[in-house]
Amino acid sequence: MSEAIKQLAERLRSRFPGAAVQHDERVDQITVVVHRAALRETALMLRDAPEFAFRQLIDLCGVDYLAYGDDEWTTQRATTRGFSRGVRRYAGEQDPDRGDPHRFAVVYHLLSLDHNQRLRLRVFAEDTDFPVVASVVDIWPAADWFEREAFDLFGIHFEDHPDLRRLLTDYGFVGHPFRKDFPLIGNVEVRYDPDRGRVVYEPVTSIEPRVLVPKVIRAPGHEQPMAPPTELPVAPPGGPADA
Amino acid sequence: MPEIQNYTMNFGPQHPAAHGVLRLVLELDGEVIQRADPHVGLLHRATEKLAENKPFNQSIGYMDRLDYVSMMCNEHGYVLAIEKLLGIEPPLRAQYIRVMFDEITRILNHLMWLGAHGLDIGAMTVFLYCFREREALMDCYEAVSGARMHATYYRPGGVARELPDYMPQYQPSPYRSKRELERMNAARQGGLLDFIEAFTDSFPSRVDEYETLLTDNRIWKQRLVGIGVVEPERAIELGFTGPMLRGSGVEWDLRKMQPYEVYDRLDFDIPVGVTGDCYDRYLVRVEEMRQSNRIIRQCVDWLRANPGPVMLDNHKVTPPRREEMKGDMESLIHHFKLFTEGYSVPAGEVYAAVEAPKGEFGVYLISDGANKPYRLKVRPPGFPHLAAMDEMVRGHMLADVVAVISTLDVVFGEIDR
Amino acid sequence: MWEMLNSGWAAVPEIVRTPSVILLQIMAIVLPLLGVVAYLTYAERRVIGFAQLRVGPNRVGWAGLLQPIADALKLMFKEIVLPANASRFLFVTAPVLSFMPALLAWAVIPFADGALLADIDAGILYVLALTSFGVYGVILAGWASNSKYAFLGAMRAAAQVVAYELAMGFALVGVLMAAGSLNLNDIVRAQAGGFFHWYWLPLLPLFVVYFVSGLAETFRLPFDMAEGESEIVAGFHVEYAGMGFAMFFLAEYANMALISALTATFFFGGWLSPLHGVPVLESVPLLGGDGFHWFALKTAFFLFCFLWIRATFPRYRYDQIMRLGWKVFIPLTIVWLVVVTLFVTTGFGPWF
Repeated sequence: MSEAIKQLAERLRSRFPGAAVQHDERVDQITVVVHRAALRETALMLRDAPEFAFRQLIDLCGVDYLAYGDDEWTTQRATTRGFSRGVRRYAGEQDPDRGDPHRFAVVYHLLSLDHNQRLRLRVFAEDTDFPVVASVVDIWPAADWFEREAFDLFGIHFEDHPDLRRLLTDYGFVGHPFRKDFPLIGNVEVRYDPDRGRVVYEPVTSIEPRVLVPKVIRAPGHEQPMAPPTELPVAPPGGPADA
Repeated sequence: MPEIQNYTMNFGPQHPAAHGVLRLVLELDGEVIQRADPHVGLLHRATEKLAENKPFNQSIGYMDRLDYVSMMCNEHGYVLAIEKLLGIEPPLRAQYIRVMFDEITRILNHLMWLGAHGLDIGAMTVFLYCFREREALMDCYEAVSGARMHATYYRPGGVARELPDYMPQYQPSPYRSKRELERMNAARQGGLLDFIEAFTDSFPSRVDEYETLLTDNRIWKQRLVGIGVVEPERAIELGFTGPMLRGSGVEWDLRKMQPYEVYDRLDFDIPVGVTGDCYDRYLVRVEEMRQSNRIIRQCVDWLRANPGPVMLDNHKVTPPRREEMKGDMESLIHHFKLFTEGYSVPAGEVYAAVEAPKGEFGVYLISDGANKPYRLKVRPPGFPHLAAMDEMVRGHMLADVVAVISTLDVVFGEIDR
Repeated sequence: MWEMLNSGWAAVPEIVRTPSVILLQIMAIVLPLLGVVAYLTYAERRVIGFAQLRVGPNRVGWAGLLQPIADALKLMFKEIVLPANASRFLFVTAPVLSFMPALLAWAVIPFADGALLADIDAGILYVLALTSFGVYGVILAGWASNSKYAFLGAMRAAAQVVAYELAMGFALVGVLMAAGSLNLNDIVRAQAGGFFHWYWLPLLPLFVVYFVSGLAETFRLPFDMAEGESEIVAGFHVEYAGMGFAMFFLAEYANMALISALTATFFFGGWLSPLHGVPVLESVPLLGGDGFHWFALKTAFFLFCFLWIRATFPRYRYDQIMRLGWKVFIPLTIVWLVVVTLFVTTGFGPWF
């Protein structure tokens, strides 16, 4: 299949000179990174151009790159406090104003039934405080719930989505739980309050946040921690050349 | 004169036909559905977030609990993604075992689906017939992994254990005669492969039994034909996969189109529907059970003839054997590192998909080179199916909602994750 | 001793004597009937268990025979829950209204020749009136529960009963024409003369319609939309618990027994032996002789059919049931009534 994938990569490069097309040889998959402004044109072309014909949207998900490449292992600050010795927690302590415009991304997985090919499309939401990406519901109707899910879990807004409600979390939930700065134990816990005779929400007190196995970045087969890959593939600004 | 309003009904989440915890807000005009708004997420456990906080191997068990009626297929998708990123391929025998258990899982899932579908339409007997066969297949799970449902059997680099040469047996009980006990244990005297072979011999006639009860039954047909019709074009647009897509007449099966493991070496057919209604999807799934049976049989024959390792020898990824550990320092260190820290997966991203019984089960994995996934996204097959619920039931009657829910084959473990 | 009792009885004034005799007769019917209903639930679970490759209740008592008693005790001691905003009076009355007619109709069933509580001439009319009365309990239960599911169940039940009551009535018109009497005892007598003299043969379509309508009338599968456990959960009795629920349960089973008994009476010669006219067997005392045992046997067979059908068929949809009732059964019965008219005028066969 590799040859066909290479050809697809070539075609994509010539069709979308404004996008970053990467072909990961190891897993033989193609990622196209487009600029936010060019998303809908790219999507339409990928769906309608007969040489692509990606008629099916298989998956759509949000990604939060806040803690990408950070590990939780430190030997400098080793303490004698027991279990979490040597562990520093990154996700929650991360400086939220890292100012990285590439914190939130939306990843689309496309499938072309005609050519039997897959494609990954990524778009960065640019704004960290209010990430917005154009909705593709009218291009691929399957995106409806997937976009609702990404909105729910990551707080990414999809412009012109017909019904952007929370999907998976509770009615009246606050926050976006899959963001890296959202603690794993959550912000609130519920219990039945016998005095008030109803279920109440309270800040979490019953669980200690802790890291069971610290996250460690190592090059495969080596014992030394590896420098994390800091360079994220980013699309140059602007749209496709012919747009 | 009072204004005439539509009737809003809350269907679920504790409804017997909601297949778990679906809450469906229905707007009814008499008994005719005007609008259906599924509310999901009551079983949301943040599996993906939990997986981001654990070494890769510790999340395999979570995958079982996603679609809890097709357990091993979920593991397969996840394990396949890790293997692709690591750039390893399991031994051939392990691939055959995986395929065999994928198909056993497919039968398990379709039996559960058929039983529940029958029960929803009101045919109670077929439910228990299906559970008779499920019981045998669950025993295969038990024999191979020790657990009847959540097996955690597939591992990156192979499968956890070699197939056992004994089967769990029924124990004596005051309510079971000795002769009955012997009859029940008759197929369990040999190893797992013998048991599975005996199962594949009897299974087609069992499927005939289900079909006798349902396929030509007038009431069954009246309840399913022409209900929840999805045109092929629309099915593609809506992101349908698996039997839902094939029921609409689109020939698409990852096992044939993008073969993984050893599916390209096996001989099987892909059933395709014509009209895309509930009845076609029923026929497609029943035929898939027969085809899975064929695949299992071929795997059994191959596995009999070809002994060999079921796990890679690469101890950076797979744990060494216990005996080796006792004598070899290197192995002990590998074992210690694997079970305290786990292996690190090279940075990169991958999407791996398997043809799960319900459709395409995909795993999108981003690794930043650490021992935990940076981001794990599970693409559950039932999710886009349920999203199309409103479209499929509009204009149908209340009783058809039940038929459509069960034809979607929804399981909330995977939809809510 | 006997003399004394007899003379003592004669001394009791007439006004006390007659009611107490009737009361005893009622007891003699109702108490065994309740036993039959209780054990019908047991039989159902065992029969369906057999059909579904499982055992059914087998732990309480020998082979589970005490299970109905245990169930009854459990239901009796359970709390009766009144839903919020339910109409209390109707909510409590509904199970009674549902159960009562199921028992009342037994008054005109001939268990053996002349052995019936009320030998009234308008027997068929009485039966028809009471069987359709039972649905009021269902409708009231659905209405009083203040639940949308229950209400839907009640609406379905009302529509269904109206449709099938008509078909049932027409089917009985055929019997009436054939027998020339509304009295159930006379109807059975008119069928005398062996298996092929009974009305099931000349009135075969009417028999099928009657029995299937009976299934619909008792809300049994495949017509159990009023309950429809996978659609509207339990329909009209979704809000009932404990004895309220038990009453509906009893009513359903008593109705099943009633429909079976009526089918046996109308189409299968009631207490008559099927062996009249068979050379040797005819003279065997129990086999050839008429009597209660034949009636019980036939009723039991139809009850078994109820269970058998339940284990086999899926459930119809609401509009399909309506279609079957209005567009198939009623025309069919009307057509066959014309045929029966021809039979009667020509004096066809041994039947007319």
